[in-house]
Amino acid sequence: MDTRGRDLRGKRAAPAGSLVRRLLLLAGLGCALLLIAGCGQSQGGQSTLHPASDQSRKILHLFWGMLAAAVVVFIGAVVLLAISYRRRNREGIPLVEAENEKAVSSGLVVAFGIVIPVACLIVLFFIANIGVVKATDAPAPGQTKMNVTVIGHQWFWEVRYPGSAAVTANEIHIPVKTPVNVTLKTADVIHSFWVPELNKKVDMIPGHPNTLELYADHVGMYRGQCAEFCGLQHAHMSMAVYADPPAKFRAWLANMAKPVAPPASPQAKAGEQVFLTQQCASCHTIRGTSARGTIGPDLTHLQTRNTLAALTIPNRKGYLGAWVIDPQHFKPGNKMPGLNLSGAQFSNLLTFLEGLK
Amino acid sequence: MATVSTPETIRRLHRLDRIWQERPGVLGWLTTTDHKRIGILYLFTSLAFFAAGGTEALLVRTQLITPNGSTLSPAAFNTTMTMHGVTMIFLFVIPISTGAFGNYLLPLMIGARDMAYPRLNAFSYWVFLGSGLFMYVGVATGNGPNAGWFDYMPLFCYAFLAVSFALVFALPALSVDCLFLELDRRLGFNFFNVGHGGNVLLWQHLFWIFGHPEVYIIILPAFGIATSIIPTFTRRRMVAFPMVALAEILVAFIGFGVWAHHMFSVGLPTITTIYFAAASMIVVIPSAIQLFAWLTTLVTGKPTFTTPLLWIIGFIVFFIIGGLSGIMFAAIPFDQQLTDTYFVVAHFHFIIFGAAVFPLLGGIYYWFPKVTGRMYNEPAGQASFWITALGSALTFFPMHIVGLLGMPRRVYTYPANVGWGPYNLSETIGSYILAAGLVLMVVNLVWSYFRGPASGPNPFGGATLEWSIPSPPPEYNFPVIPTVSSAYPMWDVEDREHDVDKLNRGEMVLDQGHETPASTTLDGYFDEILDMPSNSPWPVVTALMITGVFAMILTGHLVAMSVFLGLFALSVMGWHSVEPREA
Repeated sequence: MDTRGRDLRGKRAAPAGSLVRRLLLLAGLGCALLLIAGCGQSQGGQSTLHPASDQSRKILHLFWGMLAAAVVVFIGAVVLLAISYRRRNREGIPLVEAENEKAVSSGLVVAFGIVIPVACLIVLFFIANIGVVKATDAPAPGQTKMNVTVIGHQWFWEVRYPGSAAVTANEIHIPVKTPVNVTLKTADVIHSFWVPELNKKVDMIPGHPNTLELYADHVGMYRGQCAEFCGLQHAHMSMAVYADPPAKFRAWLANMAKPVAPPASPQAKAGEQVFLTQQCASCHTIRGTSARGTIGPDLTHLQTRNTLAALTIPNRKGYLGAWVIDPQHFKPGNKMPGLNLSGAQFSNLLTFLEGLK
Repeated sequence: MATVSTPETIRRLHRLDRIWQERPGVLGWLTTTDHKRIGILYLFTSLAFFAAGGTEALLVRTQLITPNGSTLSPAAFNTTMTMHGVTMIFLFVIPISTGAFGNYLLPLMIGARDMAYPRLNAFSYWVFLGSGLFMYVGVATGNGPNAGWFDYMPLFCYAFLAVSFALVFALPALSVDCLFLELDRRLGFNFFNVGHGGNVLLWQHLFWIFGHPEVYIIILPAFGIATSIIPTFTRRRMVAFPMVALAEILVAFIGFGVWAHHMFSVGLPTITTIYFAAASMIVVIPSAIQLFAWLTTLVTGKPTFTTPLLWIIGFIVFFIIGGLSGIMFAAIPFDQQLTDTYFVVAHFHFIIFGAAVFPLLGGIYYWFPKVTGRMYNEPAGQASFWITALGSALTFFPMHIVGLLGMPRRVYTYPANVGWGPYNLSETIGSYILAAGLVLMVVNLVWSYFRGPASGPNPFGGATLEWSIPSPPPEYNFPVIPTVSSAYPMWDVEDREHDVDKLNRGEMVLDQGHETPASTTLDGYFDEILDMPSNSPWPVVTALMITGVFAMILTGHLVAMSVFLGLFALSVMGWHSVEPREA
């Protein structure tokens, strides 16, 4: 506050002076990173920046619009801060405001603090909360030909196709370019169904089914993940949505609806007995056998799936065996216990599981 | 202050010293009802919890530094993450702002000698301490509100008034929520049990009826600190003072009408979500008013960019970014896409850390000379700001991007093939830098406490009344109840001279007892003189008993609970059997 203070301030111009530069750098860096992230196309990710449906694209466009407006506001504020920094040593600025300056200052606050924000918010309200809301809303029941029911479990997704016997888990197949009405339920706690490249997320609430439209405008795999904390293995509750060409989808669904074929080899037959007599059948269903458990995923066509344990590990021989021996290794806390199997039982069981096509 | 040297004046000051003297030692701290000492207790307790919550944050970040990390087990991660949130909100930000800053500064700013209910004030601290310790044993209980009241308040005081209002009305919803939950668990009620006709969404509604006003409970004290620091360091009064005061109060009201915007993805009817989105947009306006009032004050003043103002500049920048990302969440479809991802984590850390905690840290620097009588080290203070701000940007900004890339919040690990690794690495490095900045601040303040140069009563030329008294303030705060005619009393030179005259004449010194004046509620005229209670053992004893009662209910020891309940009743009787001591 004294003259010596001004010298000190002069010397310290460097840290405060780089304020503006640093902020601009930060903003620039952030935008650059965003652009890089937005441009890098990664197949099978779950990025909101790679929409594959009209719904996700509209949400993304909404975001870019809001971001553009936000950048303008941010730069405006930084410019004001820069101006105030330039005034730090100015002579003759009064201690308190002169009366005429007061009106100007209050006018600025009214303009930038009330008038302009109100105008922007009204525009945003109509675009986002009237327009885009309608575009992302779920269709009324019966509006779409294709229906799927997904039921959240700790910690996997049960997938059913009403009108078909098909039941699977974690990998949802849908026909491409076809609106699919998804009914969302839960078997236990609240989960949230989210496949960002296809649509917004919707929670799975006990006793309160929700619906969501899934539509993919090109063939591919779209990753999704539980978005509401649901316990110990919330992190390992992912899913994949496969948008297939319609013919391929129909073939897939027809196969999924069938019960399992009888075991092809003596080893597989012995493995089936292991499955039915050890604890496996008390939790898992294999349609076409007496296994009717409902705690774990349906394994009737296990080998049509690319992953195990809700996308935690690939569905390959080594992983499947490792999972069966010690399920708690990859996904600690999940409900599957390790089994005490002899070497022969284990190898027969694996042969049986690998035959579930 | 000017001359206070007449023998009669000196006798008066000695008399005040004797009347307001605190007991020495630990007993003095346990039985104190002095708002300053209670403020200091809150400060150190909440800072200890800040350290705990910060350590938890670093553990979380260390687990997430790479995909498939294995620093923490899933169970340990989930516990650490939960305790980080609970600690930072309930045991750090709220208690430090209302408990430490509010308690210490409010009476000093309005020219009072203590809070309105000194023993209740002490009681609330001990309950807070008990519940915080208990929470670290396992489960949570709430802490009660306290607030003072006067008129001609600086904007700081308007902000705290709004906070107190919000606390009083928001906490019951949380209490009801917790009560229902406890009834569900212990006595088989089914408020939230779907299997028996309950509704899990009821929990969410009640929680967020508390939870969103809670956000303003967190942010408003920060606004108050900003509106204290900015005029001092720009050498000018706040622009649009009435609008800012009104905005602070409005924010606390409108904040009650927006809770369901936390629930856009649960499948509420579209029309309901649209209402809450509209209300959420309206609540932007008071914040925009305040933001531009700060900016305009800075632009039309003559700012000095030293440590406290730097934290406020950081606050403004972080608040703008966090506010703009917040507005995005009032766009329902965007909310439904990005809620429960790291984008929302980024948003609320910009708000809670950048916008709420930066001013608290700036405020610690700003009032450090007042509380300790010593100056902090300026270059180290500036360095601590830049390191913390850089660390915060590096920690929290990439969270926006990784959220857009689809990373959900509250996951203890993530796969390698989704492209989230580099951002998480940056976040973790940033969190270490952030922590280093805070450590530097602690070192600076500890060193300055012992070695800093004497600060004098008003080192920054501050405008509010606390700068009129010596640093650290005497136990009775003001030797004479000050004359106040604006929100910037230190810049009203005549009023201050008038105070000296009054002291020399012995007018409004109130040196006949443990006394403070009361004012009329609406227009703040002098009303009567109140006898204030001095130190008392009952607040700490009563708090101990009530903590025991709740601890025993929650752990299911009903017999022990009854014993504590009896002791609690006895201590309440003890409290009321001892009237305020006459001088």
